[in-house]
Amino acid sequence: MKRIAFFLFTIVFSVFALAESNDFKFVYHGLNFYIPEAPKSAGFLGTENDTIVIKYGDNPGENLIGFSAENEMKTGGCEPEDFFKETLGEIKAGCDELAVGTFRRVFVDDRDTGVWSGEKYDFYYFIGDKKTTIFFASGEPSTKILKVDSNFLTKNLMKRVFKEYLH
Amino acid sequence: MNHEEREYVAAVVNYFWKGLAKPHTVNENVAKVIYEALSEVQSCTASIDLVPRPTYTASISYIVKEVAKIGKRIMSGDTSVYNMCRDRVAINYRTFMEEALLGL
Repeated sequence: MKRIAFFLFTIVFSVFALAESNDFKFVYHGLNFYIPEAPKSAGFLGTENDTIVIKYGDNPGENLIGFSAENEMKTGGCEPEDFFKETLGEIKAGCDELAVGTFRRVFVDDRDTGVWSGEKYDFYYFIGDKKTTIFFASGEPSTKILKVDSNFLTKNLMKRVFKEYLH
Repeated sequence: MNHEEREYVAAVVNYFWKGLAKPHTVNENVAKVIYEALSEVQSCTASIDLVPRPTYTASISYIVKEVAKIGKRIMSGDTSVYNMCRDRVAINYRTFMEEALLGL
């Protein structure tokens, strides 16, 4: 209940923080994100992944953005940053082969992939025809993986979500 | 969808995301999302487990070695590939499943 109240507070507070652009400022896990204005609905099931779904379409499954914390994600014995870099073929960090292979199969194959680098965070993007997924490592004192995904945002609009951290 | 079908669909959802679905939260969109997720797990498992990985023309000794490794895993009942694929697909579909369960 406390979590839901916090979520609602965040949404309401964020509406007032909107003024300077057409984006909707959305605060999640203490970070600021900028999503298209005027969502039609938003939901939070209260699960341990803190998944928040924001919806812009009228029909089931249509035009969604989701934010979640991937607490249980297996990174093959590597730090998240090294794991993502290895899946993109940027480095050879020695992560578990099965962990890398399955990740590539689901998120890399047939997707436009890369990194948007900022001063504080690197955002690893995996852009597909039907789904786009962004992973990044965040959090102090311990590292956690956050994920943003959508089934309608274009690459440019998705990058805009992270504009505060990309200059 | 009758009650029994809802229970079974919820069981599959909970196989991916423990405790996420209750029979009364299951709807047609939930069934659609879980069907897509299951298909992706099958495809992931097949590609990782059964197909030799190198993009260059593999030598026969490499192929024999890879197939033998796969056979060894199958014979020992090792389901690690399936489980890892399921975990990856669960991450890929979680947002869409939660949206469906919320009835949004």
